[in-house]
Amino acid sequence: VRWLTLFAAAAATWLPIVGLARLVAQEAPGAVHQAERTTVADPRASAAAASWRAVTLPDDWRETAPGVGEVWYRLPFSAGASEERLAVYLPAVAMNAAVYVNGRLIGTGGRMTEPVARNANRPLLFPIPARALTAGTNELRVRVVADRTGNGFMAAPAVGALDVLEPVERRATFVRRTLLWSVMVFRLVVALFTATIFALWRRERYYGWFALSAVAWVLAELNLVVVDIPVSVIAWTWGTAVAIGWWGIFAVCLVSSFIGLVRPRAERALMCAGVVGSVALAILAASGSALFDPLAVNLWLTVAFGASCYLFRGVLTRLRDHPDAIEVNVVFVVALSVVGLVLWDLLMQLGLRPRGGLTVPPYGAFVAVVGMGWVLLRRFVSALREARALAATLEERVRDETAEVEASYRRILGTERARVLSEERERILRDMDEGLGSQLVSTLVLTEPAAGIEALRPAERAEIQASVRAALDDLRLVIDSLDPIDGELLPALAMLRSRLQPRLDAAGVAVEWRVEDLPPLADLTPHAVLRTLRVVQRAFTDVLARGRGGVVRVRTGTDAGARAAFVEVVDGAAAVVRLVLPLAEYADAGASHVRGIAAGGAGGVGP
Amino acid sequence: VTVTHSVLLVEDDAATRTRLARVIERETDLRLLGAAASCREARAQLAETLPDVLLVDLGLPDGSGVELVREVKARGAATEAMVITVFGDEQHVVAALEAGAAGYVLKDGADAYIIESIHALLNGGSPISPAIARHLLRRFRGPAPQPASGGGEEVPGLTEREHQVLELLVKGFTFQEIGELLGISAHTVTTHVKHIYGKLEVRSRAEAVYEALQLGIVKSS
Repeated sequence: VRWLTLFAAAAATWLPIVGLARLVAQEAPGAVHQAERTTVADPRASAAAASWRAVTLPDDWRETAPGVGEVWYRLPFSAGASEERLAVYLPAVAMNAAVYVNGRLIGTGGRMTEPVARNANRPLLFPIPARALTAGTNELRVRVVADRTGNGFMAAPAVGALDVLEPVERRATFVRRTLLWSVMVFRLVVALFTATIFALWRRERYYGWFALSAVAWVLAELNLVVVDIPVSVIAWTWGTAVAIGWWGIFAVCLVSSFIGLVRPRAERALMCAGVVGSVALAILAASGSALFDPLAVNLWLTVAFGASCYLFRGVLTRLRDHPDAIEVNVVFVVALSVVGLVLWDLLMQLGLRPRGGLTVPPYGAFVAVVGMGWVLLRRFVSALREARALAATLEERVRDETAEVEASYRRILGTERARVLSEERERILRDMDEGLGSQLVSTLVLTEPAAGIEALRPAERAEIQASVRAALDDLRLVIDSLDPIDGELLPALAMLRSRLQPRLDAAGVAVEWRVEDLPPLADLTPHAVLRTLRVVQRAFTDVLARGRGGVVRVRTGTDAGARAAFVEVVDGAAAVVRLVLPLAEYADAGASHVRGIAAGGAGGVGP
Repeated sequence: VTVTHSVLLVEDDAATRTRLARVIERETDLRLLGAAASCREARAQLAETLPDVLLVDLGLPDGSGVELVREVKARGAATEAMVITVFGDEQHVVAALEAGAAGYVLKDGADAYIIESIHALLNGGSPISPAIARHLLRRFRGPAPQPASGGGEEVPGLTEREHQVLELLVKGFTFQEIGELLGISAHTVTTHVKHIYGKLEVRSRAEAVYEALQLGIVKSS
């Protein structure tokens, strides 16, 4: 079904062209098929009337007059009595014609001698002046000259009212010439556009090949539209054949580079073959060799057609591999369309089909250029889009990298600061341990009875010792609060307990340690930790000071609603102290640090 | 028959030294080998005899007690080293633990506390504070540097139980309470702690070698 669809699409491109061909092939009213012809140089001058032979038009010299360069046709027509103007209409001649009525020249299609004006694709209409006509039967003579011997052609002429024939001629001229010129100009514009793309973007070679093949095709078609050629016929024929050949070469390169086949050697070989072929044909043409015509037309054009078949096959393979690629489908339809039209034309060139009809490949060019142009433009746009997306991605990555570098710089700064702090802290601790701490311990030792200081009374001794111990305790609190705590209070509380435990044991105070992990607390600076520890320590020392033993319960946890954590020291049944601390999660709610401290201490702030 | 254990005391503060010496001498199962006031004096003593217990202050006038601990351990001695410190802060103690010390004792502790700590050490237990436990947990969190190409001793990680013990210590539970929570004896808990200290020593040695290798000081054979 898919193949059928593709073939149908190609056939659809042929439909309008077939329509045009039928329009052109429509016979004009009053077309005459029976006539007489002679190959005598000027039948007017000689009396050799016997050389006239009957002929059926259209007359293709390749069959009826090979080797002849000029043919005269004659046919009778009757001029009615009416006042309407008459005209002679020649739908197709190769290459030029001079028209006589009753022996009187009424018009020519241009130059009748080498290089002959080229009217193969140009309808000719000659109004007949009234004075050239006689009443009754008149004679029309048409002198046809070929560009090369044996290449002449004469379609059935029509003699009739000018008013009737003029629209026919105008219609044929529009199709054969105006439309053709338009297609050619359109192609050149597109070629210029793609050539510009290629000039700016050499990497995508198919833009260049596209432009070259389009130009080569246009050059080949000049043969159909140029009437007065500036060079000899043989040179012109050579140019046309060479242009067609190069079109084949460029088209092969276009398709292979488009479908991603990169074969520089094959490309170079093709170029060499093109150059060699062109030069060989030029030599044959210049030397006037009889081989030129068959080689230029038959061999060369067949090779060009072979090239188009090759590229068609390349596209076919590609299509089989990527059946869903819209581009390849379009290219396939275009190639099928062009190959079909070229084949049709080739049949006529080779004499396998009657002449005089519409030369169809140029009209196929419209399809080809629109199709290929769309594909190339699509690629161009998608490449642009990709480039833009890539640039955006790149920008984003640069942004990300910048952010990352900034973040890692901040991290390094943070680490460095932490390291400096830690070193400084270590130094202070060492100094305190070896200096102040040791001094305090010495003092403690010296006030012991065993130290032998007899002058101290027991009360004084106890007071000094309590004071020194308090100093040591507080120093320890300071040190513990310096420990990096990362928002955790429990380790600091644990440290406090481990320090007090021996004294609690000695005083016979049991501790119920009912702690649970606390979520991170807000703004737990060393200072805040120290204040918290002091309050809790005071609660403990108060219990110790009472000297009654008993049980102290320490609880930590989160409040109902879990917006704050609490630390509770309970002596017996009464809460000695309860601290409420905001959680880091709700720090923004404006909770103060270590709330409840102000109300802390003995006496309790029960829930 | 009472087995006596020899003790070498290294402390630069005269009052503290005298007091600690007095406390140790009072014990019948402890024998004070000597009381040194500096690294130099301690080394002279150690050159003669290795004690069962080395009680060492960290801040000595001519060096750090950590060096003494390392030297003794390097001689492969069975000596148990214990650090004397005022604050028992983990910064100080951990450095000594890494050198091979098996615990610490607070300078201002009561006599009974000091003797108890020495006995605990001799019985295979080790004291520890929540701050030190926390430090150890952090220390063992990362992967250990393994000795290259199979050579050297295996660098141990913490067992599940050791990990549990440390976590409970960080929360402030005593050995007794941890024992109850885990269904083991308090003594087993202290043994775990001592094992952890041993692992710390091996680990810090491996890390030192690893760092030296990284810096190109030592060549891997």
